[in-house]
Amino acid sequence: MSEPDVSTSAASSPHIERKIKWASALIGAGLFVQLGSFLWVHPISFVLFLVVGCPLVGLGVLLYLLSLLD
Amino acid sequence: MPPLFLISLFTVTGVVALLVGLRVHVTRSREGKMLAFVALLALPVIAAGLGFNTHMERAQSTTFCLSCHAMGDYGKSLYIDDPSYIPARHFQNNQVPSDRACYTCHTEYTMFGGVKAKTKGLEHLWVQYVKGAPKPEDIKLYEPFHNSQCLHCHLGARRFEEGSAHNKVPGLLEQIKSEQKSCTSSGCHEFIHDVASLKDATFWKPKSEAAKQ
Repeated sequence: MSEPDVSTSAASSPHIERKIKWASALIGAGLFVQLGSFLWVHPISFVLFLVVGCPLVGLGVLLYLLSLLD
Repeated sequence: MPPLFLISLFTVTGVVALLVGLRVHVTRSREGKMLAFVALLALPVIAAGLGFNTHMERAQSTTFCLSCHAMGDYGKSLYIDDPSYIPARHFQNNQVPSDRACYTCHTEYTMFGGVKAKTKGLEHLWVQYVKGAPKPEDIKLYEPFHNSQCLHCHLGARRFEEGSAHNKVPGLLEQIKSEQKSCTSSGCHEFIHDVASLKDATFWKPKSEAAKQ
């Protein structure tokens, strides 16, 4: 009896892929904001990095981790 | 500007993360899953961490502190042409690094001194943009300036330890070291930024700046 192929997963549901797509979009947006915050040496850019960029990246990473649980 | 490495890291991480989202079917294979792990977890966390560190370092720069309008006069006071003004004397003689002039004297030299200063900085942002910034001359320290911030550099220095003014009264040096006598508010080194009197002050022009004009 042959072993099932674990290298590919046909069971990768659209639900998981949707989460990965959202995670990718959030991380991309967060990194874009964070990169933009480096252009300006000002307290506002630090807050932009911390209050907008970091939560976007954090949410994306969280969504990706949740997709692993599905 | 941040180092080129950091800009490249953010760009590459962002592009790879977006590509994984656009070609999500690649995550069905084992290699694709590994790529997703790197693109959507490892790289973004590393990039954000390094970015945070860079922002923390930039927040110690003189440019950063003086970028708020209310601090402009304090920056100007560093150029007062009078050595009795302590910040001006330190700044003009490189006794503090010119690119970290504010932070050198205005953070406590303790383990969490920097973090405390940043938290206060966030409060300042709130005041600047929400409550309304006070006039520069009305800005006061939260608590009297600690001698420890002066002693961080001056303690042990011959000029401080053996200086005639510091030894003219027996026990004075010990009082200074134990914070019983303030360096700044006891009438000894009382001229600090004094932004209210800037309009009557004359200013030093560094030779490099004078040559530009």
